[in-house]
Amino acid sequence: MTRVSDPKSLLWMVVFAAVAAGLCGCGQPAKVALADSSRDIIFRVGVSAAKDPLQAGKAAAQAAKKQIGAAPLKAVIVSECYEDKARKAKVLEGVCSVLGKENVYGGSSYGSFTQAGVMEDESVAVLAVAGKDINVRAVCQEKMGTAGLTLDKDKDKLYAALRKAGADLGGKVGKKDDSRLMIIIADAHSPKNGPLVEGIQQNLGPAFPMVGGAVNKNAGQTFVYFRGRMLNDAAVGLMLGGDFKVALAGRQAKENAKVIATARAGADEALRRLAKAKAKPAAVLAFNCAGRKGKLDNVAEELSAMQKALGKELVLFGTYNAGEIGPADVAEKTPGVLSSGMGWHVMYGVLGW
Amino acid sequence: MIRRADALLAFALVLCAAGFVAGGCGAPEAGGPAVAVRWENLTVPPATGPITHVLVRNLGNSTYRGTISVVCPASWKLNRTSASVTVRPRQTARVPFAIERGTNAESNSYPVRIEAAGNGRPVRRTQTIVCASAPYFKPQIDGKLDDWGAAIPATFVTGGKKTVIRTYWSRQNLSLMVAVEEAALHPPGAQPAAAGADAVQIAISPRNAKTPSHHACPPGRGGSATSAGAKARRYEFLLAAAGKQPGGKCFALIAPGQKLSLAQKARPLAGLELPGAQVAVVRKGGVTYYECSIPLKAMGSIRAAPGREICLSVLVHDGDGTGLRDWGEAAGLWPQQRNRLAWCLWQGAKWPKDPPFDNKIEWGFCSSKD
Repeated sequence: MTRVSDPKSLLWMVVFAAVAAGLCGCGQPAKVALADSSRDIIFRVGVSAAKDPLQAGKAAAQAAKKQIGAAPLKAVIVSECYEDKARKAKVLEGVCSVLGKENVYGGSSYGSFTQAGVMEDESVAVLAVAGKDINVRAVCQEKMGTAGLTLDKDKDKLYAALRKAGADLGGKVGKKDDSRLMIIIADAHSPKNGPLVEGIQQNLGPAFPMVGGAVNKNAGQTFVYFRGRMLNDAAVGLMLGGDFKVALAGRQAKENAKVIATARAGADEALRRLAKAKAKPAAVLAFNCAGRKGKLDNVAEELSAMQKALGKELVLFGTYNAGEIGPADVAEKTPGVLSSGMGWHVMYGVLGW
Repeated sequence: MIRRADALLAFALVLCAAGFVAGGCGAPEAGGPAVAVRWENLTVPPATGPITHVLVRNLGNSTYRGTISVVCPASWKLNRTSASVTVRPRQTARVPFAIERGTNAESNSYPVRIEAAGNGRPVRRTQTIVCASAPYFKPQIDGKLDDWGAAIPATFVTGGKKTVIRTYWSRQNLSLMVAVEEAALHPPGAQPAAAGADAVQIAISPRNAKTPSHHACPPGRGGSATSAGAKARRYEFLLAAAGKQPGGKCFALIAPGQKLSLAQKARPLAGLELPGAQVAVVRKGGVTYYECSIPLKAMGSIRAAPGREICLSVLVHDGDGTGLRDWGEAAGLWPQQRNRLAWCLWQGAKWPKDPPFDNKIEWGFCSSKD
């Protein structure tokens, strides 16, 4: 082994290492080339943490609306974490008052994250999907039959109800030639999201791209939103179609350092897969686990890690959930199955062309 | 003339003697276990597939190298059942095991076994761990006790009497219900002569907080110095019945930043009432129920969210019955974790000869018990 005894040599090595680190951009957000304007497909995000939930809903919706301009609005996804039904209803009212309730979907979450930062306290994030080159078909499966059933006592009955609900949801939405991605928001926390997804796949097939999240399961805080209505025991499916590509990735972690590392690794993989399909990203959806967030010493570090892969310009709409849908990061994956209902995951869906 | 071999032998003998002397306070008795082991309680329900940890404390003066083997409940599947471990002297390793498939037991009671095979003879321990976690809920603190069905009960028995701890969290409050099986209730000020008063003492801290040791060994000799200037890193409260049922009070005994020497004075409780706390204490069927909501605003360094962890422990004072009941004992803390700096003295309490266990015991927040 060579011993460095010369201080000058040591100094040059330090300088070289610093330059190399700077060049490789290890610590910096990535510079990501974005999809061009050849498609009239727009994703824009608005956020608000106003104390008044009605004003918050309006502000977030107005921010998104302003950004989409005259592009035809196709769908709005809401992620909010105001406390209790009355305040949640006001948020929804605020969003619907600006964007029209017929377009509004989503659910209660544990918080959201966008390029503007992480929002854990009472807040709302809104994703507006617009443009004439994207279509969105929305379906809802109400009364899934899970209310009052528990995993401990009624597992078989519960799972059967969820599979059936999923099959019905998948059957309602169906798949068309230009269908590209199904977003699912459901009152089905992990592991219940597993059979729900299996049910959906009975109609859409195991390899169809799906991402999504389970809504907040805190007592009194569980709501799925469908065209302005607040529902329990329900699942919403949004089928996005058009001339664009989709790439998915999922990562699991349960400890601080791994949560941060996997957040970047998952985002990296999703972008790599999209690049392999010869597309540049226009937007990324991230359905993240509230439990992962709970393990972070500093919640901002996970977002920073994502930005090292995604950059700071790509539209990012992220939510914290009680279960996630997407590619499972497990050793024993079922061959041929792209998406599963999991826990402790961050699931990425990147869209582009 | 002294031969070189003899000189080397003499030198080696001197080194051995020096090492023996330098072993210092707290060195295990010759032939004692090389390590102490403990399986931590879960902080979220096992069905969510969390990581669980086994603690391995090296009790000796040389590095411990061994294998930790574990046995979990039959309905669980862990990612591994053994792990190699290297622990430096007087250090504690925290060995993770991921629960790949877990099930929740209604009893919230999970029998586990640990074996550490390494230096010296194997160390084995059987424990019953629990899910020590607070689901999200906003109970009414009214003595009716009908809001606690969604909580996860942590039960332990002392002297044949049961204590059950239930907790909830919300954005505003940390709520607890401690059910104490006891023959009679004698609150502070109303206890029989020579008996201690009945009350429940609670300590809550951030997860990474540590209690300074009360051991007298100087630093570097196997212990930590007691420091009169050491500051508390916990919030500590006393719940006691007051007036007619369901009357009760919550006294704030110490908060982070206050000197730990305060903990060693048996202060009167008057004037320590915590503003904003709600307490109800009732007796039903041989059990005293202490219900309480403590505003999170009074505990600024505690952030409640699903998946987050804190330290939480409970002492139950049953002055005319079992004496002191200690969650630390039920959680399986080691004898050397008894610490008189860990809990505040107060007027009316009667304390056993041995100090109670440290209050820094894992507890978590979760969304729901299912």
